[in-house]
Amino acid sequence: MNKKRILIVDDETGITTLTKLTLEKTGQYEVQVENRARCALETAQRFNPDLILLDITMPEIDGAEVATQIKADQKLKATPIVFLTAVVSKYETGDNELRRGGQVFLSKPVNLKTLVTCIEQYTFK
Amino acid sequence: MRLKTKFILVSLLGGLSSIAIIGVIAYTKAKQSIEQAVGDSFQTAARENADLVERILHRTHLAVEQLSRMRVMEEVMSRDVDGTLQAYLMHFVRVNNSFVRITAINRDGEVIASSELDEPGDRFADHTFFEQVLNGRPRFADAHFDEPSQTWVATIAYPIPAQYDARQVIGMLCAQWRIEELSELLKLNRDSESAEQAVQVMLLRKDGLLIASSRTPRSSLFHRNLRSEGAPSAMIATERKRGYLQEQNPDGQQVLVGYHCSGGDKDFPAVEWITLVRQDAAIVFAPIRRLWHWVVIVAVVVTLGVLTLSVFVSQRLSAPIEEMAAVAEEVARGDFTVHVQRRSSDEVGTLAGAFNKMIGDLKTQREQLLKVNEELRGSYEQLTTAQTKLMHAYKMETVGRLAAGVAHEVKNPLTVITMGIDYLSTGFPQNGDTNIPTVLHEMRESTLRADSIIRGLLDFSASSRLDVNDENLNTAIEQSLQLVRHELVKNHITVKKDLAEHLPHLKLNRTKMEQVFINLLINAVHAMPRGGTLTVRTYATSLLPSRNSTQNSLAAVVAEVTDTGTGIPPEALQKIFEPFYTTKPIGVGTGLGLPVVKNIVELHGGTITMANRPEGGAKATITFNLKGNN
Repeated sequence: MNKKRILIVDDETGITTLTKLTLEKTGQYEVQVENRARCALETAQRFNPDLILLDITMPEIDGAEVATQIKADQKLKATPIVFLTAVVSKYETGDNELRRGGQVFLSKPVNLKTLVTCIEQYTFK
Repeated sequence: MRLKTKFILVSLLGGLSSIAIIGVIAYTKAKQSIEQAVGDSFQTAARENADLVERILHRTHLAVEQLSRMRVMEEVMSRDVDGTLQAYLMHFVRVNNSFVRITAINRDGEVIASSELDEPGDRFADHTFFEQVLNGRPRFADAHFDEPSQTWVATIAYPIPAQYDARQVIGMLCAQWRIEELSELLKLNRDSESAEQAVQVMLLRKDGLLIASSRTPRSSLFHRNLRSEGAPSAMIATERKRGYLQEQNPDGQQVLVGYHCSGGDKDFPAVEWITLVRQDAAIVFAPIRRLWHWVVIVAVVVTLGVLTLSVFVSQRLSAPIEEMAAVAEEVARGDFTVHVQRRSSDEVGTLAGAFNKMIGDLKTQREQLLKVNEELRGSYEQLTTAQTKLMHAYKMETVGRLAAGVAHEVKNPLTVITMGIDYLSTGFPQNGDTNIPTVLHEMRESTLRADSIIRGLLDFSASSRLDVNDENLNTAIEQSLQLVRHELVKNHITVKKDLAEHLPHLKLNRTKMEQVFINLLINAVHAMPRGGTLTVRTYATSLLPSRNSTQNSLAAVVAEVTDTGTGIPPEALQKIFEPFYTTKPIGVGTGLGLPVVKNIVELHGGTITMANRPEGGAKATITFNLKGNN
């Protein structure tokens, strides 16, 4: 069985490093990390992920812009994007996640269980 | 002083002063005229009496002169040997009672014949007198006392001319004329007057001796001397000849005196007798006193008339003004329905019309002012509300930016830690240390707590804008109760619902409102660890008594959450809505529950208060003003 390919875009190297390690430790995922938002589209095109975890608050380009670029790409536009955000409150996201405008949000700090549940839900084929 | 009083006083003063001036002038003039007239009449009376006396004297002189020219007088030459002359003279005196005695004397001074029997042969005593008569000039001796007859007489002597030659004097005819006779003649022709009022006519000798009087007792005749008594009339009569004056009698009585001093006649020498006409001034000037009485009566009558008229006129004048003053006071008290009755078309009527128009204008302006004031008040309230909201929004925006920054900076490290814990938790070799799972668990709990605080802070700040809909408050409450049902059952809490049926709809964000009630309900549950009763009540009410009570009779919707728990410590009541203030144990409360509740309620235009109930427990009261809620 092929491992699911997950791309993490976040300027915080601590988050990307530990998320990559934790997810890969489950043995179900192949994780690619991108800390520079402006390189996110390029990396995604090269890596061709099954799901993208995208931080919203980033320098240079924010998550929304990156998402727009990815959605504009013919090859990537069907790829599900889950936003990771630090500024959405609990009452907006509910207990775990928030759907607004067709987008999925996860509120930081996110634990492994929530992350895996979310990934499995949107990569289910 | 009142206008009416002033007017009456001015009228009275004007009327009285004119009346006084006119009265005094009229009285003075009339008095002068009356005095002049009466004085003139007295002077005339004196002259008439003097004329009368002179006529009598003249007649007497004529009688003596005629007698002296009679043929029988020739007898003086023959010494009346046959007694013819004597007889004639006796006869003459008897017929003319006014003579005391008539004596015929010859040139030798010998009495030839006399009307008295015993006289012939005497010699005439006064030689100067005799000489003058013998020189052809008649002679008059003023009043004197005649010893033989014991009466007062005046002596008239005429020369007896010779029949053959009138220039030859052959003797002297000497007649003693009885002066007392004059008193009988000195009667004015005013018989009708009473004795009291009668005018007294006096005849004085040149030296002031009273020789005849119409009223004086006989005893004072020839005894009183008015010049000796100092009577001014007697003093000045010889100088001024005629006139009138007022003087005082010796007994103090004021009398009016008209005087006339006779100047004699061409036919006989001047006798210069003084005629006085006297009367009591009080009687003479009685008309003047009556005139004064009349002046006073007229003045009183006119004063009363002026008083009545001025009272009437001032009443007419001041009544509308007083009415206007009363109406003005009514208007000042705010009653604009009153108006002044317009009674006349004069200036007062015009004033009343203008006054009424002014009241109308005032009323209109006042209404406009009230309207503008009401609008201003409304605008002010709106402005105040808007300002409060704006300041609150600005504050919340600042807090929100701060919270977002903090959240971002804290949550990323928290994410790293969470992921790290998860990494260590999955398939990590235990190395025989059995405490590692406990350590990891505590670490996970701590990150969760840190996260919940950050989330609360975001909640507190991230609700400056609301999407609202027309909602029934009861629906939000029912939903909230549903969500905390599990907590209520677990803590053995009885719920009492007292929700008003027809509650006016409010503009609400239902999710936010549910958050409010969940917070309050959870707080109540925490306050009753051993169970209790939780009461939720809603009702519509009016706030303060309003002037327009019909319009705002249901001005507010109130929700109350009451518990029977431990209540709120008094020192906590002040700070209960401040962020991060909590009375709950560490880890149970974030200190942001009630601040968030307050924030949401205020964003809906409502207010929230917390209080302890006297019977125990706490009560939260949320009030939504319907006006502010819009």
